[in-house]
Amino acid sequence: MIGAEIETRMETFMRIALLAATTLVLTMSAAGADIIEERQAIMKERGDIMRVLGPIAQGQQPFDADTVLAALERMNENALGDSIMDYFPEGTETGGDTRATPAVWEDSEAFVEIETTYSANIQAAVDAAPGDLDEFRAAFGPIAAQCGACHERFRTQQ
Amino acid sequence: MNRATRFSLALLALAGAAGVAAWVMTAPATLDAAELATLPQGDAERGERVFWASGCASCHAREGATGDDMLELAGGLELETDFGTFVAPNISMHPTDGIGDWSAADLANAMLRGVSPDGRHYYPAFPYASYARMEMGDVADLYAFMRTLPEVEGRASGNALAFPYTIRRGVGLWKAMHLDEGPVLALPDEDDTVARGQYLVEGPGHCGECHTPRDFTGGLDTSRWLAGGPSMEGPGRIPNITPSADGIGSWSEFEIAAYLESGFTPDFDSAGGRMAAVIRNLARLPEEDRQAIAAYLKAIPAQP
Ligand code: HEC
Ligand code: HEC
Repeated sequence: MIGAEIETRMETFMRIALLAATTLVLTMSAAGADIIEERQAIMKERGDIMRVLGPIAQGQQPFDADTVLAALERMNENALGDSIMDYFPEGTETGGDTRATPAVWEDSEAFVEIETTYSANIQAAVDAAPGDLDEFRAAFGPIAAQCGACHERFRTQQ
Repeated sequence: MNRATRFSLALLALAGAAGVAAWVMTAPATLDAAELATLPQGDAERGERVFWASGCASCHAREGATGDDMLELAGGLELETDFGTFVAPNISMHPTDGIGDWSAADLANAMLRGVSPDGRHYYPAFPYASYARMEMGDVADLYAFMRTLPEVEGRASGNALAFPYTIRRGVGLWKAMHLDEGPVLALPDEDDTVARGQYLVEGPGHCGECHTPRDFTGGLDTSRWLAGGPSMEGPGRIPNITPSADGIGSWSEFEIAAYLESGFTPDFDSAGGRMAAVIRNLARLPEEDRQAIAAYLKAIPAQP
């Protein structure tokens, strides 16, 4: 009798534990998926801003100081500086359609350093408020170089 | 001698002959005296352009090197492939750790024939199958330029390969199948710009080494020239760069040349992976060379 009761209790306990564990796993992976989407959205916005600044730097579009400064300010807000690892927590190495390479976690110091340099270069460009195409190109070059430096090691080839 | 013994002996002789033939066939072949006689006195200034066009720094400078660090050819880059890991050696002017004591002829034999000064085969991870298409004058100029580069101390670790790839002699077989100094494509009515682009892409630029799929023997499948495929090392794919819908058919010549200078795609994504280092080299070339490459990439057959 008592044995049976304990068994039922055990069963209930197990069920609850199982449920809790499942919920935890589900929320965790949902959070993981969310954060992958979130960081991808940040990168996409960088692409949007580049589509404004790139053609100007290449001389495909006319230089306009206001347009350039507005884009640089938007870029500054989007930059993550040394907090970039908040968007690459453990557990998000895979999942979604992430193209982050294992090096992001294995050598996060180098990864963070690139984002920090990138952010500092943008801040410098905003402070300089480029007044003509040459000034803009001088400020833009070092920013753009960090995109390639990061994609070289930290994004998988297409 | 009974019949069986005679038969075995004949078989042994045959096997011996095949062995000798294989040994002869796989023997490292250097440039002959007449070819070496065409090696002119090099010019360092012209050689710098050859250096950037041929991307030696992508493999022989330290990984991720930019700016002047690209001129320190310490080696050490590891290429992880199905055959094992190849390590690019020190090719700085250091007399013992690098190639400071090499002659121009030594460099020519290494780049055009894949043979070392002591007569051994190099592995084709060193992309001499492409460099074999280079002109003698360019090799001489490159040699003159490399002599101006710094001595860097220290040897890179050796290759870590799986058997049977550890046997260098076997590379002779690979060369017999794949070493061909002729042009890859026969393009009708080539103008000078396309011809220059063809030379740069098929020779020094060695673009096909990554962008062309390989057959099971590890040679380039030239019927699928620049059609892209799985990466030889690491995960990911190498894109198709022929003028097709699967390739870069929608890119203008201007856009291709701009990508090769800045890494920006027409959509302003930024190039990554191994291409980033390739671009750091190409960015140092005169604009006309990037335009020539772009013109060639527009002129070649489209591949799905
Ligand atoms: C894709 C990477 C790659 C590129 C690009 C490359 N090499 Fe190499 N190179 C290698 C590897 C790997 C080896 C070692 C091959 C072996 O072990 O047989 C090598 C070997 C050599 C050697 C032999 C060194 C020795 O000590 O015997 C020389 C010389 C050399 N390369 C010169 C060059 C020059 C000059 C260029 C540019 C024109 C160049 N390489 C471009 C990967 C590369
Ligand atoms: C060491 C390997 C390697 C070599 C050599 C190489 N590429 Fe690439 N290339 C790549 C990779 C990897 C990518 C994809 C880059 C990325 O993921 O952003 C690429 C991308 C490209 C693209 C953009 C394609 C697209 O759809 O985005 C072009 C154009 C290109 N390469 C041209 C060349 C040319 C021209 C050369 C020779 C001068 C060359 N590549 C040599 C590896 C290589």
